[in-house]
Amino acid sequence: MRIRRSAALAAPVLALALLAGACGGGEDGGDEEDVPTLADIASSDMNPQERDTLQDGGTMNWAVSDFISQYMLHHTDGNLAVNVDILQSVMPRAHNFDDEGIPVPYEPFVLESSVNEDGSEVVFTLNPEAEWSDGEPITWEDYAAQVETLSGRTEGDFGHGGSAAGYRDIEEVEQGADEYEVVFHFSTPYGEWPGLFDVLYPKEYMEDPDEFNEGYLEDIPVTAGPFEVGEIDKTAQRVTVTRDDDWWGEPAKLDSITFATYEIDAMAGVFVNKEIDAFYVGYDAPSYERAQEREDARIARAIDNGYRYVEVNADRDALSDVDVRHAVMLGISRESLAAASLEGVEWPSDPTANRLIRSNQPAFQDNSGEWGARDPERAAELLDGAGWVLEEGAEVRTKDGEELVLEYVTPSGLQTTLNEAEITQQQLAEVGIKVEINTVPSNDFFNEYIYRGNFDLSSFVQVGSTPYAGESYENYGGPFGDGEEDWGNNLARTSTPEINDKYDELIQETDPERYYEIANEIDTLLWENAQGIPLFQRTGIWAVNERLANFGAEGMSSVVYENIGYTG
Amino acid sequence: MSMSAERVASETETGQEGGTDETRIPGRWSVVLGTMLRQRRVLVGLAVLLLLVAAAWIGPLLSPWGFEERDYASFLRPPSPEHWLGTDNTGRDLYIITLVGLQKSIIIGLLVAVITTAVAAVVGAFAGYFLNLTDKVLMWVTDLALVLPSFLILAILFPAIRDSGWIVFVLLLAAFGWMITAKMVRGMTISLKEREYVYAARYMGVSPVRIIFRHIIPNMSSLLIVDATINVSSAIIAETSLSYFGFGVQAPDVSLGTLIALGSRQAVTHPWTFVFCTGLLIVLVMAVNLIGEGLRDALDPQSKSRRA
Repeated sequence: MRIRRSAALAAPVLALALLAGACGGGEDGGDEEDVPTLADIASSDMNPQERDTLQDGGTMNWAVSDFISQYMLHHTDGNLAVNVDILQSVMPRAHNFDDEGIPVPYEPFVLESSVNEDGSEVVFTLNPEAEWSDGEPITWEDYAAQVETLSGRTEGDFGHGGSAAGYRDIEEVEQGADEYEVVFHFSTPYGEWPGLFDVLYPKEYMEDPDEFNEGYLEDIPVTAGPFEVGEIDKTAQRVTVTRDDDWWGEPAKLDSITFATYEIDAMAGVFVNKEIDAFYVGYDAPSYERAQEREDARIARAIDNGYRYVEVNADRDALSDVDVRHAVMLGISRESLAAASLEGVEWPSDPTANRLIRSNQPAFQDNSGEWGARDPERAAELLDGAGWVLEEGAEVRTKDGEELVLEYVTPSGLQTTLNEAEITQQQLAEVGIKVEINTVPSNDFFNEYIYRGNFDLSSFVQVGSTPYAGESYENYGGPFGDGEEDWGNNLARTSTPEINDKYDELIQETDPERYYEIANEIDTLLWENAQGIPLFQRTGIWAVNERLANFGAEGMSSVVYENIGYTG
Repeated sequence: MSMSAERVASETETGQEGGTDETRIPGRWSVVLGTMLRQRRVLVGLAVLLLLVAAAWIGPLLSPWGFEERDYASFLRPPSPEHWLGTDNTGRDLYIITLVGLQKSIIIGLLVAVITTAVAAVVGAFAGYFLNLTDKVLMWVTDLALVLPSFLILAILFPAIRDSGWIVFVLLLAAFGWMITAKMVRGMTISLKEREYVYAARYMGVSPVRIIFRHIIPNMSSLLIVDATINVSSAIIAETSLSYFGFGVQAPDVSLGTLIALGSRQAVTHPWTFVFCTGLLIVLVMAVNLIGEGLRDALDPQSKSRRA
């Protein structure tokens, strides 16, 4: 099976399971009045400070969960969220987003960007000062090469595995008034164009398949950003980036940033030891409590551009029946599952999650309808209707002599997933579905099980890398293949023509109100088709050194690396 | 188990007046038992073990919570009147799951120890009695099993046996625990087979297999009993560590290992999830070891404590 993974989606998915920690309630979870609601959670919590007030120098140690070997983000092996965090400090990008998801051109590279009325033409005015670390200017040709390769049009054996959303909608790229103006002609309007070029590479590395596949392997040979690569230490699993003195933008406040790889369980401990300055806590109750033992710790809390859910693999026999999927949905208590994870980090244990819209966006609403709350009786009716009947005295439903047994795959060492699996196991047993928990090595979890469809149920997170709802098309639309059936990043392996049509409508929609309306319609359709069971919106909880400014829980906003610094 | 030939006749107890015809000869075992019970540590060990067994089997009956029950209103709460030992991450009552886990660990420990020792006795006795080819083959297998890293093998085999339940897990644990005892048994068999009663049996035409089971193995019973007892604690530790890494007992079953695995990562912040199961493991292993060492000393003529 070919696995299509664009940077935007697969990367985050992979990061998710790994970033999620254990969960649990806390002693303070009981006081209902004190618990904030989802609406009270800020859009971002970054300790914003003026650059002038920050001291010059210092090092930030940022704990990450993966050591990257392939720094070509668009290569299949480079599709990790951590990679974006590292690369954006040393590589160009076209736009930054604020915490409401509004894009602004990132001036060191793009001075201005605009789209015409019907969305068919996008123009970037590039910053003529911008140049690669090898002295070459960054021109329209670099943008054109990236479009040609990522759209799948460049011939060659590229390890990116298919055409990427957005890039494939660009029909032609041409030079504008001079080499510092790029004109993109879209075959179909793509409303989410500012999300493209989240990492831009030099054209040599896009045009030649060998350079694409190996140029950025264990190395970042060419950079252009506020930082340059200091050291990639494979033994210590650390990447250090240092201030680039040739940088034409605002100089970085920090001398260097070290991305140090740690096991998720170990992060809180090293944070308390002051070996690191920042790490993502998520909803791991032990890490959350432990991190607060450090006297100069700040817990940053904001919404996060993702949600945790139970994936239901419709490619498996029993689950191909939408009634059985709905029965699973009704068989589990989303409230219990959300509470199990969120109580321990003093977060509203609200299972309201929208697959396409986040709680800080105005159109956020619960579309679960009749499928959101636990209803074992209804689940039993659906299963009876689907032919899975509970024989007298039996504990597991059968159909034609076969037992209704679902395999719940969990990665080893990740308590959250195991907790969810155990609760699901118990709750589904009550409606006559037997759940077997299969714990697999965490390194194989995505590659061998989830992407290949070797699971019935599993839980992880979907994270958006841009604020746009439309990027989730590849998670819920499809099938994508021409001829053979290819579900790509649609891990539920099911969809409907209606959902696909709505996505087409969505990405072409320019009226924001109507855009969100369509997004909600899609979410409703996804509940109807039982594509995954959302558990809760992911928490944006970070533990950071309290002196660290312009960094923390970023929500939907981009991290501006040159502005990160320490207060006096 | 049949009585051994080494009976110690006691003159003083024979032919008592007015007594029945029953002649009381203190068997070797009553001597051993007496010696053993005179040691305080054995008494302590036995008492603690009995207490643990009682707790594991009777304790759950006292709990207001069921084993498969979850309290969705209290996740990871400290001990309270409602949940005597607190709750875990998924709202299970720690009191009941810790005791049920203890049950599972005790059963697995005992079973593995008995099976291990039985296998060791048979393999060692056959190798030592027949020597030659039988010995070569059996010792080759033993040596092979000795050099294999058992933990790794169990981890690799685990996916294949996952669905077969914990009995298969017990067999696998036992499969990697018998080798050293088998070598000891082999050595003892080589010397035992030169004894007169073995010769006698042989000349009377008793089959070799019968001789091994009737005469050789029973004569090593002291060694085997000590070995089995000590194996109990190592089996419990092996089970616990495999379950700790997720290769052992599977949900919804629990053992002390799975509970410790859950508790260890939050031991600092939520100590009640760690302290009780770990404490029970330590007490259990110590109790078994006290008994095992007491037995060894009681059966070992060289031991000081026996003469004391």
